[in-house]
Amino acid sequence: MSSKDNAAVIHQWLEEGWNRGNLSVADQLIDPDFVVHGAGGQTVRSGPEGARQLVAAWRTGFPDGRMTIDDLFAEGDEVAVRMTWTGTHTGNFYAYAPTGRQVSVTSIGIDRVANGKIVEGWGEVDMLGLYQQIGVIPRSGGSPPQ
Amino acid sequence: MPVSQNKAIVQRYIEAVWNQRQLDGIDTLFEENYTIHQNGQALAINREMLKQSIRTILSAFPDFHMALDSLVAEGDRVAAYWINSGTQTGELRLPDMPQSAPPSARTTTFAESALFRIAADKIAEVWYVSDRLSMVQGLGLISWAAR
Repeated sequence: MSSKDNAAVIHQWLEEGWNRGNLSVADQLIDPDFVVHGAGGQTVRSGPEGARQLVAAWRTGFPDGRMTIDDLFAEGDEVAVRMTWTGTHTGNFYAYAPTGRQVSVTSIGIDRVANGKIVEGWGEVDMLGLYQQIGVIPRSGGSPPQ
Repeated sequence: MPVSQNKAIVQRYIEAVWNQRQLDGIDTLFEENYTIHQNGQALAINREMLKQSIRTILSAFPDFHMALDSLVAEGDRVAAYWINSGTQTGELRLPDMPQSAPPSARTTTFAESALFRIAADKIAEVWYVSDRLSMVQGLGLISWAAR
């Protein structure tokens, strides 16, 4: 598959899975051996079930949440994506009860696609910023400037 | 500009500037003035500010190291993912910390992803997302208000 096809797989997963909540597409787009590295310390199980649970956690915590794709490009079988999750914390997000607060969280990831399925992902999401926005961590831990 | 050349620029930033402490490399790798977007916030900075930031990190973590895992490039952009690690044997002062943290001798390991825009062989804009949560947890700098 071309790098353009691989980019289209990521685009479809973000639009169908993350934005429309059509989690059954995971069976079509996520490889059985799918693994995630990073993800801000979230525990993500392998395979389509892990991907479904990850999206479900965010859509449960932020039912109006939307993943905006800020940049998306591919080189060979690797796809880079820069994105922003925005939503209102009106559901339980992991251990945290709803606060009604608006959040905006940035994320950058690299995914490897093989035979039309996402096999492996490396990415970071600013969980500290998110927890500060919903008020469960005080705004005192900054980031090293670069 | 071939993407391999753009990837080499990012690789030099990580390997030469950060890992080999060749801070002068910044003068050839970065535009004089550029913009960073860090965890969602935009900031106008310049080469000297970047050098000062790196010196601040290295004084807190003299053994600071970046292990580059992945580079993906297309057109004028390069995405990267790496693992930072360091032992905090010096005083640490982060931008929005009320006071600096005394040396803890703790080692922290945290992943980071970034996207670089390159113009005429120089880094012109960077988006960073680091796992700041793991970093501050690793250093024992966080109080979990909700736990």
